[in-house]
Amino acid sequence: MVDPRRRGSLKGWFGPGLVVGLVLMGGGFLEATVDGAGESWFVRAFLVIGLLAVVSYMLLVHLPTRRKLREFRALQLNYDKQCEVLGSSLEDLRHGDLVAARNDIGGLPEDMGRAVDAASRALAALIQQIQSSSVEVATAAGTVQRISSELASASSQQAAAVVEITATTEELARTAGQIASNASSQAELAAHSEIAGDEGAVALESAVSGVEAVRQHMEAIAGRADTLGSRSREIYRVLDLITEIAQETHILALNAAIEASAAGEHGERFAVVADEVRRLAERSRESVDTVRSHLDEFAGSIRGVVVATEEGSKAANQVLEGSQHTREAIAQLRSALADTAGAAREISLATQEQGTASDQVVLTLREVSEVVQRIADGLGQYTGAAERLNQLALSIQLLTQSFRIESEHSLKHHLARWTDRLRDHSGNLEAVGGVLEDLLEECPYLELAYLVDLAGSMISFAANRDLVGDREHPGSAAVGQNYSDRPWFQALSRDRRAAVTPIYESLLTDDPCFTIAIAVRDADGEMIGTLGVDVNLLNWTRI
Amino acid sequence: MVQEVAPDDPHERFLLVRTGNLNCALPISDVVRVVRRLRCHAVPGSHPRLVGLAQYGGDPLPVLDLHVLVEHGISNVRQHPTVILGRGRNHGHSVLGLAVDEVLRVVDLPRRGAAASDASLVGETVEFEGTEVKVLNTQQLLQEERADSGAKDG
Repeated sequence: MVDPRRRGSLKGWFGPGLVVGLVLMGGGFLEATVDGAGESWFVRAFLVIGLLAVVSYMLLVHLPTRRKLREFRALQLNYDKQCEVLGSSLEDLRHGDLVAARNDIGGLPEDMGRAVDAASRALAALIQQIQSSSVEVATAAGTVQRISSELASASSQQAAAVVEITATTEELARTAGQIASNASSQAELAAHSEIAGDEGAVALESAVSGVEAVRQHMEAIAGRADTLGSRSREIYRVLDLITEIAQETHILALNAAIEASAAGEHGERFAVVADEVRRLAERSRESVDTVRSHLDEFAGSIRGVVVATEEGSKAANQVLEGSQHTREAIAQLRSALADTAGAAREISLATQEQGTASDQVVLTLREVSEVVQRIADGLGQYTGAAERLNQLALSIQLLTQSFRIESEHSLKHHLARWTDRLRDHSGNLEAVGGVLEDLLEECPYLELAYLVDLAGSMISFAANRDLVGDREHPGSAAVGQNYSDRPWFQALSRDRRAAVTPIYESLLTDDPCFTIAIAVRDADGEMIGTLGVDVNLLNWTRI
Repeated sequence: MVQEVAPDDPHERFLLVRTGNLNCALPISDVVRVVRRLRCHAVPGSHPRLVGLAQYGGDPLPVLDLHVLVEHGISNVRQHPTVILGRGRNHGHSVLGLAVDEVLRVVDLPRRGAAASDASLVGETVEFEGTEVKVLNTQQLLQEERADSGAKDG
């Protein structure tokens, strides 16, 4: 194959060669046609003129033209190079690698480089803003979804509660009717009891009057008994006096007998009189003793009467006090019965009004139940919309993750730094495992991090225990497992650029997640493996 | 007065008294008078049989407890003692008081000459109206009192 540039250079010499050829051909033709020496100068002149024409052509046309062509070719080469750089940047932009797109702008003209840099920066800022906004939208949508779900659940419970309240209120209305009936009956009973209490009060007043009369009689008897007691004491005093007189008479009779005895026979008759007097005194004393005995019995009877009348008076007083208490109790009972009757009537009226109000409450509760049910249905739809909004926000988040920008929220950019560490430890499986563990520790939203070779076989992997827990790893997560059929591996192998999968459900956590695969390159930029991470979307948006 | 003994028997008149459960007969010839509520003043440190000293007719009169004298028992406190005053037959004035519970009446009991000269205070015991009566020799009591009074006078 001939170099086009060289072919162009040969074309440049074609014109002068043609002129030289024509001159030489004209000289030859003249040489052949000229006869004699006189015409040879003509030939020589032709050749000289031709040579001068060739030289003039060379100096005036060919060399400037060649210089211009070289300049043009240089410009064309520069243009081609710039186009190549621009194409590379645009290719980077097409694949969303805004960082790589800005790395090559040094090969572009200054204005163009600034424009590309500004466009990349603006696009990165826009993507970052979209990323942040999508996270906020996802968070807000998640919150709205959770709250609306709770509200929907609460509304359903509230609707069920309203139904129960409605049933209870209906039961309450029925019970109120029964209470009204019972209260009416109670009011009638209370009225009858009040009448009976009035009659009882009258009977009690009569009984109290009777007891009062008995008490007065008792007091009169006690007064009479006191009088009798006083008389008895007076009789005792009289009897004591009689006894004293009898004893004095007895002594006197004895002394008379003594004197009669001292008088001898002259005192015999006097002794007889004295003895009669002594006998009379003795009989008087015996009579006094008899009277005293009877009087003792009489006084005992009087004391018994006094005691009995005192006890009777005490009992009458107790009866009167009890009657007073009974009267007060009956008065309180009558008042209570009147209050009860009034309260029962009020209860009857109130319960009737309550029944009416309960019916109204039931109607209102049914309306409330329907409204609450509609609210629950609306909240269910609202929950679905929030869920869709959340999914949409996650999709936007996923779209933004397909770009690589200079931000800590750009997973591609973040992982690109970790590929350098993996490259530094390539060949040391233990160190690679440590790097993957460090990656999971720094990025707690990652479920799995793994390194596969160019053939798609897993070299090493690490799982985030905080997310996965003690759940058993699926069979696909194992060293030696081939991942060459995975879309991310195929996309990376095809485009040699980082790949992002659509959202799928994690086999480890059942949460929505996506995978980012990024190439691990050696110092020469040759791809030596693939770093893959499974991003847990819930934790990613939460963080 | 009704006589409780046969009229043919020689008898003597006594004053029948009661002290505690014991009935005693005092020769009425030695009795001067019966007095109720004779106020006695106790003599500190005296013999238990001495109830105290009383005033009778302007003279001090010792009053003895007959129950202590007869039964040698413990003197009873008597709220209303009845006192019999003994009388010396030769001197004719009261010398002694006996405190008893009750003076019953004047009775006639058979005379016993031997018993009358007995030196002890309590003489024979006779049955009178179904009850035992101790006949007292008050003369011996009065002689002791006179001896005591003579000793004091001498």
